[in-house]
Amino acid sequence: MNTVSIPNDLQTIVDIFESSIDKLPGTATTKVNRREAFNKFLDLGFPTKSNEEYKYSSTEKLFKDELQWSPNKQNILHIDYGFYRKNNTDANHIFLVNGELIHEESELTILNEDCLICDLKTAAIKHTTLFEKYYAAQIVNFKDAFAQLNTALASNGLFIYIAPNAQVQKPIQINNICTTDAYQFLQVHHVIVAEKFSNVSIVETFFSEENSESYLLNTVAEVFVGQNAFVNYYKLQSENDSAVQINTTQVVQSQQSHFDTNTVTLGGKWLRNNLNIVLNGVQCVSHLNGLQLLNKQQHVDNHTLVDHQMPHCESNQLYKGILKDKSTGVFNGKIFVRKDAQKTNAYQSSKNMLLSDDATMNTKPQLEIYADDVKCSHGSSTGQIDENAVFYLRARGISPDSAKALLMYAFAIDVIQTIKIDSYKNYLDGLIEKCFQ
Amino acid sequence: MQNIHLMISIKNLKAGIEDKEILKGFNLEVKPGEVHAIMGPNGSGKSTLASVLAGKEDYNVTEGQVIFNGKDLLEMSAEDRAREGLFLAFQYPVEIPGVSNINFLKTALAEIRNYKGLPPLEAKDFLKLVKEKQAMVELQGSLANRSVNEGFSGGEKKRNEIFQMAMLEPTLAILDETDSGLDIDALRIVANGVNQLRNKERSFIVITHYQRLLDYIVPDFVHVMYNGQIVKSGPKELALELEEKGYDWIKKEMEAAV
Repeated sequence: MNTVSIPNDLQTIVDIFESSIDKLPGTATTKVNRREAFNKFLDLGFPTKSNEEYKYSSTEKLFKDELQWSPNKQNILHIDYGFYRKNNTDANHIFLVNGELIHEESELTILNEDCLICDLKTAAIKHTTLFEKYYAAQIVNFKDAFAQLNTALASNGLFIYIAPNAQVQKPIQINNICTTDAYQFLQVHHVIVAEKFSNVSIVETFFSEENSESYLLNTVAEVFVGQNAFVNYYKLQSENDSAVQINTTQVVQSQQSHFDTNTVTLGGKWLRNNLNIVLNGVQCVSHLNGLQLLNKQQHVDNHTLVDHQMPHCESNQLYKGILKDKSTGVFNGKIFVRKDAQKTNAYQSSKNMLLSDDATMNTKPQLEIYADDVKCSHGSSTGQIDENAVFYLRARGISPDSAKALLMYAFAIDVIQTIKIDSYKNYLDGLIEKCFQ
Repeated sequence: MQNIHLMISIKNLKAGIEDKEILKGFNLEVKPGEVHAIMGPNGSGKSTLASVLAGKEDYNVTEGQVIFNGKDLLEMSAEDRAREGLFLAFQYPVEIPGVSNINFLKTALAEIRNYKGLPPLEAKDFLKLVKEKQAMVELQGSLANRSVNEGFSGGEKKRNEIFQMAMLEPTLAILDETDSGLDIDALRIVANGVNQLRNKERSFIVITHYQRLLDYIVPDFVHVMYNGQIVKSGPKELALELEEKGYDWIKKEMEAAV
């Protein structure tokens, strides 16, 4: 078992990589890709404050304690899977504990040739060609040390493959549960492929068991949305007060495809979400929504990047946050409109409510437009609760607390209204309401 | 124990915002079932009076006493005043995106009933009540499901105020320039709603700049407010006199008195 002090202990990480590379899932080609990713990681190094992309999200505190490198299994027995299943009754549930697929608890039997779900190890052995084609294929261009390190080292995660024309009726819910007894560094890497004309909805949740120690979950999802495919990918982050998560989603869309994503962050101590979408075909549509309800000393950083490479595409972003206590938030939304991406419609909006003098929100929209016939807009606002509205409600007999709860709920709720899975949406609705009580 | 027969008794009320005194010793007594109109030129303190009575905390009360249904109104929070039966129809109703009118009223009614030790209404009784009261102010059903006042026309906002009043059944309603910005049809609908709510127990304080509203909501008394005080009171005919002569003669009378 290795423990590593980051960032001073790069040699140990190199040793870990060299000693495990032959055992990691994949073929000779994968190995080349992993090595390339690892070299990129070494080039980039863990981000420091001088890194513009991590300006408001210092990683120093994350590395204060030694990180334990290999996962343990000892707490797994006590997990009440039924509790997590109840969150969304209309789904086929898959369970990953500390990144590892729990076969006996996961509903893998529904799967057929149209819809393949397995862990990376199985994919590398049984579906070698597909695995080789997609693993590390997209993430390679993303200049982020965590994403590259993950790609180099990940042995856990899911491989989801939806065949051409397949319509997956029931949503797939990936439940990530973490439970550790030391500060662990966990790498999880998903590959999601939706071939042309297919349709799939995926919910991914992140929970930690109540008695879990802190951990750093570094997770990557590479998503390939084929021509005319529809993919919904919703995430819920609801971990405990000591959990750290770095979550990278790298999406590439082919022509006329639709991709909807929604990230709701309620729990966790320090989270960084990188959401990168490449619109690599004509007439693609993407919707990116996010909601953060933060308190205590939580820190959540949402970095989005939408890269319009082809004409007639549309992207729409709405991120909202309500920050209490000493919580801090970041929204950094970058939109590229490349020279060929004429007739692009790209919108972005970040709205935040600060409920205390000690809460902080940093928003930074960045638009880089190289085409001349496009519609793009961005807006951001950060304000307090509307006291006139509070008074209006109180003048009707509503207590100040209920008035504020009503207003916060109203502010937050439109972010989740576009979610297409009713049972999940209702579950979120309840969770959000509870946050304001 | 004269107060027992009064809906509200306001004595020597002085209040202002920051250092500026706006109400300068205001006195008024309203008995159950009475309708009092308060008229006056702009800046005389009419809306401040409404806000102070409703409990808006931006205003400081420096002196005076307000007894509402036998209780000290100034000691109560805004929400408790509403729960005790005071209702302010706002001059500028606030738009609240995302909060549906229905959910808002359900919450308000439940909290008021809870304050009185009553359980919330059954869903079907609540909806029946909504339907009935909506008809009273000719408010379309679709408006009830929309966000509170969001995108409502001026007339719809005012009708919504009266709709809320009808739902919450206050004992004292203060209408703050409810006629402002209304065309004649909307005015008639709003007044009609108010008149249906008039009864022996319920009192109204109707604040208005113009006599026009009082053609439809006929008051028992008319008071003229100027410089933070009532300077003249009379029967409903006083409103007509004011309409005819304007407020200048009042101002002149006041200045002459000084």
